[in-house]
Amino acid sequence: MRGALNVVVATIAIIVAVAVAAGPRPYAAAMRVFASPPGRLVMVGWTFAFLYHLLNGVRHLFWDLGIGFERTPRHASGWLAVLGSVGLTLAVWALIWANHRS
Amino acid sequence: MSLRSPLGRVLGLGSAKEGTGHWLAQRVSAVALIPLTLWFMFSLLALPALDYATVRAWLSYPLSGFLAVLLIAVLTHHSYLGTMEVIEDYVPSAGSKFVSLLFLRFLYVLVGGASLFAILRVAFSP
Repeated sequence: MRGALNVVVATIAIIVAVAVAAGPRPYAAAMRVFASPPGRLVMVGWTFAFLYHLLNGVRHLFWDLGIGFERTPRHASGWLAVLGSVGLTLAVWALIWANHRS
Repeated sequence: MSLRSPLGRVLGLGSAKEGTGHWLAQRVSAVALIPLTLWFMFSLLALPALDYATVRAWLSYPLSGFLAVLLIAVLTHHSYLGTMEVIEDYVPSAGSKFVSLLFLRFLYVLVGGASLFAILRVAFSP
């Protein structure tokens, strides 16, 4: 269920890929949508959804290996996934913001 | 109405003989997606701009095109396995479950096919 949101937004990435192949005009139209305020909001939300899915997915892979089931590591890795994905989202968008300003 | 309990009805029938493959494929594709998605994110972050010419030039490099094809293939499969599980677990009736799963399969082949075609078109056109 955690991936359901990622599925919706991964569709956007596919629109970009198809837009690049379709030519400069469709690409520019797609980029205008992503650069708009609601588009930006969706992109930031997607960055968080992806990074959270990634970190929590690694957490699940460790569980599959039988590591980290006890209360303390379980809670610690949970917070690491939540706070880590928030921090990484901020880092990614700070980088994008810094690149676009120069 | 049968007086046999749900447990009594399935005892002795054995396992469904499937499911492990689905579970394993989900984990294996998840492991493959760790480097692939990170490569994708860092590549886009490293691009000087996101205009048409820059993005197209990036995707035209053989290594970028190759990894993008792998990313789309594995990501589509992983996503298909995940959404399939949601439908299997939450759609109540057998009829609507069958229709949803069929629709899902068509949708994923369509989306994955379109993405692969798009990447290959950029990679192989001069």
